[in-house]
Amino acid sequence: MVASPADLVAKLSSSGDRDARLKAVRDIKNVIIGNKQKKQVFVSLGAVPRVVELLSCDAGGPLLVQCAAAVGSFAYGLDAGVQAVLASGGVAHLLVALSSEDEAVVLAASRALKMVYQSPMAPAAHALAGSALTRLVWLLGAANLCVAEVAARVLARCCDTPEQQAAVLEAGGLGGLLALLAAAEPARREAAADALAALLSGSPAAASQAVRRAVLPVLVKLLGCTAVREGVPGALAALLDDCPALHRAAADADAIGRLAAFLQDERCSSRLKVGTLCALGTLCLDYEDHRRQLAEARVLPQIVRALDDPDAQVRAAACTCVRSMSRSVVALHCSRVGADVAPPLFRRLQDADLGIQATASATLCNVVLDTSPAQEAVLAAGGLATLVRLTSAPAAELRVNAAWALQNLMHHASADVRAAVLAALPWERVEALASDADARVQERAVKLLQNVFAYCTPRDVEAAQAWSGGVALRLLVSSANPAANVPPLRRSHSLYGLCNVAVSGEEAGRAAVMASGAVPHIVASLSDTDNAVRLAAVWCVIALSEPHGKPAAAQRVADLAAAGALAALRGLAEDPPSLDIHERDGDGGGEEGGAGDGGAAGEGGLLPGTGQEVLMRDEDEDVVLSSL
Amino acid sequence: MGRGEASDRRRIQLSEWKRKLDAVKIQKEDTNKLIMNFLVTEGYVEAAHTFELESGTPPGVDLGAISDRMEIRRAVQRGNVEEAIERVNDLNPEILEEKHQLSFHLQQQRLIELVREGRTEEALEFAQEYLAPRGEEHPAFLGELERTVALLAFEDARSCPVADLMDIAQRQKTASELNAAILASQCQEREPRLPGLLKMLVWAQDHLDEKLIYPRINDLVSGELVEPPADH
Repeated sequence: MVASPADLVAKLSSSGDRDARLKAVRDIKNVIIGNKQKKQVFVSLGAVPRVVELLSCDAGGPLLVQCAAAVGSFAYGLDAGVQAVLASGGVAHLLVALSSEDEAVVLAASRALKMVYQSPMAPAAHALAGSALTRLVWLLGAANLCVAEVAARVLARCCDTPEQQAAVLEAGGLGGLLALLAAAEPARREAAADALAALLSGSPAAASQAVRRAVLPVLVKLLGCTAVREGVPGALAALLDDCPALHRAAADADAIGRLAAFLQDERCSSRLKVGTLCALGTLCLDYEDHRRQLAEARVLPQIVRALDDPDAQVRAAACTCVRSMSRSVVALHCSRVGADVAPPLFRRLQDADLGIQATASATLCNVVLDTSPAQEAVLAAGGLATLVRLTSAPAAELRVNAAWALQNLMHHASADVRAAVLAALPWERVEALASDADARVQERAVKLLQNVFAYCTPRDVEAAQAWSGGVALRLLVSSANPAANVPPLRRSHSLYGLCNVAVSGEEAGRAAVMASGAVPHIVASLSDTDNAVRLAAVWCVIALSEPHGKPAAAQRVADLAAAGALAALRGLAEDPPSLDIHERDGDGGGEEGGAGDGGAAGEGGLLPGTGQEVLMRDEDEDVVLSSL
Repeated sequence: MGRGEASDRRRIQLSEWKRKLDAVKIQKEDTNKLIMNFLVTEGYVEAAHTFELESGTPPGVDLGAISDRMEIRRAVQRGNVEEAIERVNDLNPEILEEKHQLSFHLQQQRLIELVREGRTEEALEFAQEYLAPRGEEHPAFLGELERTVALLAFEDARSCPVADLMDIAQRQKTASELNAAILASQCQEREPRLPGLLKMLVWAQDHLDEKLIYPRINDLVSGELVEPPADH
């Protein structure tokens, strides 16, 4: 039987006797290896800093080997142990030990670092330079499996900034890692691929692209290797990040199917889930058929479950993945995905992690767009109240996304959804958003109003006006004012809002717009320097000149003409810059003269034109591709 | 063989069979590698060393590591589990850190050895200190843990219901598990390839029996081809 833990710890600092110290460290090591409970005992006795201290003094090979092994064991399988090792600076000493002349010390330090790196608490970045990097690159070629692998893992952590990446390249890291990539053992290949991904990340250089192409097939192949798969998806995600050119190649190599298979495995660890979900999220970012492949891989239930995972990193990765998937109109519309993801996404709006809240709210923007099952799920899950609460969140990112989600919820909203949103969202919140400190939030507020008045009946317009206490129209008018200091984009959307009131509200709506004081702004906007503003103003004129031949319409045309609209429109017709304007201009001119036969379609219908209709009531490209 | 339906099958005479066997070219180096693989995996360091000198076949591993492995295995076989644990931790601390079951079995063996030596009080203390916490941490070990601790409840552990644990075969089992783990940590195969090849030979002959009458290898030790019995 060995001595008691307290005795052993006391012997660590016995000043004189070298052999006694060596024996004490070795005894401690043999007791704690594979024994969580004993590790706990020694950690609470303060053994870790003492062993680390021995590691730092020039104590000779055998003692260093035993110390490194003990430190590695403390760092394995026990959070308190890892914390103690990190807090006492153990990692830095182990890194120094890698430069030892003594092979046994290098091996022991490598094994210990490998243990440390298995913990999620392990440092993500090291600041090594010069000779240390050169030494690591040399170790990449070590005969011992563990040493070469660990050298690659350390290098992967030396690529945090472009300067560090350059230093690793300078030390010859690229060649060393590429050589290691060709090793027979999967663990070494995986470590090399991981380090290469880190080394190349964020680097758009053509050379980097070429290396990425070389690394990709190795990583995809390693996905099928059970021994090392844990770290592979994460490395793949890093490799594919910022490199859309490789997404196709990866998908062609069946990366999506292989990754999805990991999620189907019930034993899938947290680390594997995080890497897999991130890699899938990246692969589904830009390509519709990749999203379809993932949808067909039958792992949506697993992805949805991951949104509620106890591990914050898994939840964040799942949010990222769902966010990519939510960019697909087809994937959302043709399945119940939207409805399935909405409730967990709403739970994530209250996540302790701010980043997760932001991703979840951005995802919801897309999910609630035009998908009735998802919208019903939002209403059923009490999500509206959460969204409304989020419009006053301290983080601007969250306010933007919340307002955006509400805006999209109102896009083509059913009567039920429309009523529910207006009931849940106090008008004061909209006013607060419209005068938010963040310009993006102000823009969302106007777009939200634009959608409130789109595709609805005169009674809806009336109800919406009542909801605002009669001031919604005034808000649109003031933010359409060219003399006010409002950015052109927001002015154009304010004009579209007014246009929607005129179209949806029919006679009453058109009369309200004419009486709102908007006419001078509309006319002035016809000769604005901004194309979008001019176009929106033309649409307003068209809407107000409806319906042809009716006395009220003729009166409005006359009023607009009196305000200078006719002259401004003629000016537009002679002005060559925008074809869009010319086409709309022709229509508008015709209307104004009362002789045209083009005219706008009925309520809710699309106006004639060249594919710009969606601009009229809704958003442009950002309807679907929210905030990316 | 020799059954009634024998006449349905084609018959191949010894001379023809030998001619066919001779036509298959097997590289000398390949047979040498097979032998070296056997010597290395089974841990015959001296023989491997001599074979390397005589045939020029590289062992492919550090023969020193084999000596370590053999000594560790022998330590368990001798019942000196503590020494084995210390040695394996010096060889590669990852092994017992990561292989919980192996680690449990070594501690279990330690307890068995204490019982064998009649150090009951120490055994009891050891069980509480080292085995019980592992059972809590890994419920899968609880059954085995209970069986092992039962040894302490009997006056004569050798004639109790769990006496099999006291058997030398139990030591052998633990030693083999440890040996395999060390081999795996050195990226080596757990078993030599030769026995696998012999199994394939038996399997192939069984299948061939359904189609042919041919000279068979019935004795794997001599490898002698036995002429099929004459037709009746």
